[in-house]
Amino acid sequence: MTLPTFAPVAAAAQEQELSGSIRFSWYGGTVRNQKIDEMVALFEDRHPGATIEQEPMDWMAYWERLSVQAAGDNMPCLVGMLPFNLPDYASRNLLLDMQPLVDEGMIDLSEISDSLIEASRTRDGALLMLPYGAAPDTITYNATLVEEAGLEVPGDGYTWDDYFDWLASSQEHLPNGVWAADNPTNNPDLLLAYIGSHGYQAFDDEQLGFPRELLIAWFQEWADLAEMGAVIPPDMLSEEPGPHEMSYFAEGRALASNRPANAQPALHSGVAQSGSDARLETLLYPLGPEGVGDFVPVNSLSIAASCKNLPLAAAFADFFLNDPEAAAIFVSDNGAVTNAALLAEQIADPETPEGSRILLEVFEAVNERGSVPQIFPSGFQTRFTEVHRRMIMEVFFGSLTPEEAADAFFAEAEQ
Amino acid sequence: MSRQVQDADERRLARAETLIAAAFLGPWLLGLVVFTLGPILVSLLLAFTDYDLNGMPNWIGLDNFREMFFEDPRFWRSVRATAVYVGFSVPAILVFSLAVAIVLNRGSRMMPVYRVLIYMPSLMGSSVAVAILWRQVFGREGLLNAALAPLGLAGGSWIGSPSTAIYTLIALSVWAFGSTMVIFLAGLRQIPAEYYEAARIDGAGPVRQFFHITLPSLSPVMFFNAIMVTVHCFQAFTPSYVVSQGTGGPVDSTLLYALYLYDKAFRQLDMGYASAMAWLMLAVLAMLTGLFFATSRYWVHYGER
Amino acid sequence: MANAEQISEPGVAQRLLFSRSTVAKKLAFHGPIVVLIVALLYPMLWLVGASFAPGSSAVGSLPILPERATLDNYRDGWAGVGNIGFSTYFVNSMAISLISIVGNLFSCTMAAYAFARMEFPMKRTLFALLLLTILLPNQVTVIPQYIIFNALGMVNTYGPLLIPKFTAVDAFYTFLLVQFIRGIPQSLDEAARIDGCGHARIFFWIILPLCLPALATTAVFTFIYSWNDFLGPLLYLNSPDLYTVPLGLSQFMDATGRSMIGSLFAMSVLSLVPLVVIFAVAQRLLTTGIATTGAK
Repeated sequence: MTLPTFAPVAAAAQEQELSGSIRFSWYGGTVRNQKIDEMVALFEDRHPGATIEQEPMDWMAYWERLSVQAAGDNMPCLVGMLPFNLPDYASRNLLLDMQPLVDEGMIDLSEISDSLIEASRTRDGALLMLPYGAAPDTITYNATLVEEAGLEVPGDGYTWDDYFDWLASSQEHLPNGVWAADNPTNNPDLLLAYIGSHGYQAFDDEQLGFPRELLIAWFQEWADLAEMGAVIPPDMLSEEPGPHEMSYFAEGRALASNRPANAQPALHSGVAQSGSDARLETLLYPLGPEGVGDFVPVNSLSIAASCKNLPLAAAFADFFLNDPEAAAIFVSDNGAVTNAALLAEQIADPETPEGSRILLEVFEAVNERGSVPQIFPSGFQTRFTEVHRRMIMEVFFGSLTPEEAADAFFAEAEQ
Repeated sequence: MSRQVQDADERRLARAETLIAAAFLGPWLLGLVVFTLGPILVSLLLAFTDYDLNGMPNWIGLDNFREMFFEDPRFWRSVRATAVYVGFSVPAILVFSLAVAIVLNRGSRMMPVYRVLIYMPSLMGSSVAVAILWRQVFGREGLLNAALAPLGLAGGSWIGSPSTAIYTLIALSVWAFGSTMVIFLAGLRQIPAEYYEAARIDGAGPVRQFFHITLPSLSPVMFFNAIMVTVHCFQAFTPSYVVSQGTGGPVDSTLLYALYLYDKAFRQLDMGYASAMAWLMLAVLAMLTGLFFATSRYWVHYGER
Repeated sequence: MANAEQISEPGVAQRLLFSRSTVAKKLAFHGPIVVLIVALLYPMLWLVGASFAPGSSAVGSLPILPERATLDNYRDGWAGVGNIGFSTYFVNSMAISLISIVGNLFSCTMAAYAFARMEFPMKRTLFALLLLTILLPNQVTVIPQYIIFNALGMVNTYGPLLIPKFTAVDAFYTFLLVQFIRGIPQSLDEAARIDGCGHARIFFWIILPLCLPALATTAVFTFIYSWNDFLGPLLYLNSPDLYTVPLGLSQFMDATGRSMIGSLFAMSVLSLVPLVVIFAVAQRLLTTGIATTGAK
């Protein structure tokens, strides 16, 4: 399907039916809110009878509010969703299975890769999320530091061992106050990839899907790196500010960091704000014994089961995912656009900013080499992401051995 | 006969007083019934269930409390962090704010300016900027370490080390001591000047005036501040939420009780457990407050006597 | 003014204004206060400085004055999103905070008077209930309360933020006022009662004027608390045109995209201005205690 014919057809089919209003809530800051405000204005221009009530909120507060809204039976029609958080809402039957809307042609997914759509389904096949912004994680490194220290970057097809060796051997070449690695638990993606590339799932239903030994090995690798001084000291990591712009990595104090590709624009602006002209480059994640293990989190849209205006919710979701003009406003602000035609367009566009371009190219490369879908249980963020974050600090501070940390991890994750 | 009339009169008067009292209490009673009492009772019931915001709660008796006491190491860590926080913050805030209030109660042209300036930190609330400010002071490259460096005492991050992080939160709570100070100040201003004049005529010095006039006259306010600061510190949530970015880290060293409770309620969606924690906290606070009230007759002097 | 000036005997002080011992005394008194203030205010002064530095460049540097100053943070932060600038948040917060003051002063003083000066059945039980609402961590009542307000159709209005103020739901203030009223010598209202005053007149003409410092305290705290409140507006306000200043501030920092740290600093500084003004104005009231009014 080519772009020029596709958008007008879809729009024409819906024009006369759309009326009323829906509430739309998403996570983001001022920059993203500005873009979505423009997109909504465009949509409302095209559909004079329809109103999209915007309810923006920053990441942490967003989930807080959504959980109360869900408990109070007052969810917005259209909500931002992420695979990590989906199970909390799916298990409570709060979200609509959108497959019928796709079957009726109200939402078009033909330009989105099958693997992304499959990863958006629950175990029983329901389609509860529409993926709009893919945010594969990467090893991002400071290329300027690499050059100054005379280091070599691991080549294609490098393994976890290669990666840990590289970090370890780089440290002695780095200037004082610069470390090879920063916090490996900024998100759960790095550990998920480690588990996936060893041929395991993070969760098998309610139990962890990998052996304890694997987790011990993981903690041991990091404990060793920390011990030789190749990781930013734990007291510094504890006080690292959340935003990518203010991270040690953006300040040039770490050689490499695992960062989601959608953080690239923020990282670039952080580097610029710290007065440096350092160049950032990315590596795809290392390979394990079972090859690729990446899990690709995709920022998605879900429709609440309680939504009263399905035609409008579906039409706006479709617009958000597929409309070329909307995409030109959003420019992959929250992960690479999943619509393949739009992706190609944004890569080709010379006006796409550098940070966004890296994101798009990473997504293309990850898409090419494949990823490992995961099925998460409800409570994943607290049972896995948060526990991981705490346990690695216990290991770094030396208050738990890798074995003890793994034991504690299993005890907390398997409730 | 006449006694019965008198009784009837008193009863009529008492009934009238009750009606007037009901009018005065009306707004509060309305709020209590409509907005407060229901949710409180619901939370009490939920404490004995496994309610996870999903479907109907199941009655599980004392299981939440059993888990708290015997199976949840993080619970005990939150208790320890809170005990340290309360133990240091409460006396520090009370002593500091009373001392500053007494100083600021003196007549001087600069006092209004001083009062505003000293109160400024209390205006910050829990703004997201506070986290960054605190890092500027107690971070690895913060002001404190910069000041200690010439003495050779600068170490790692005060916020980022498990052994010191909780003390930076205590510093934060003391930093915003202004509210307590203002209440003391208002209390000091309420003491009739004649009391001091009479004392001076009797030849009492400043120290005797403090112990014989200021402290007794201030005791109702002192009583209020002691209870409220204690309750406030037990329930402290925002200092840790803001400074540790919601994690209670490093390694749970700033996991205050209320933060853990919040984590259970809104992140782990374990509302039953959170309710159990809340009612345990309530029980402890009620006992402490009861103690305060029980001892109040010995040290709190109301003007109504 | 109050007793303090009578104690310090201004005439004597003026006569000795230039004597050396007075200067030393003044220094000994004012010196420590100024040192304390500087120490307390460093973080806030740094914040003001940082708000003029480009982007997040001030973060991590200790000096208060930035190397390069710009007004960009203020301009960008004030602009906001779409047609909703930061001025909207200021107006909203101001309205909520001022109405909250009225609500708390109305409802809490009345309840406090009843508890402090009247006899009625179940007084102790009701007072215990009042304290109980202070002692229970509010995290667990948030959701049931949300359900009530949702059922009343008041979500996404200021109702859930304002109506509780008019029904003395903030028991803290009631308790505060009870303590203050109990501190007022009962002889004053007994005299009025003998003159034939009822409770309403005693309340309005004796108690309220006498606890002016406590009323000012209540007003100031209510303003500050409402102005800084995050959770209430977060849960009950959905539309950005209803958002308050703290919600606006939180939009500058987001973990999943670009943040505007400089604008966060700039708007944080601006958001302090009304608080400082309110406190500066109200603190005059704080200093007019019974010491003056009671002596009349």
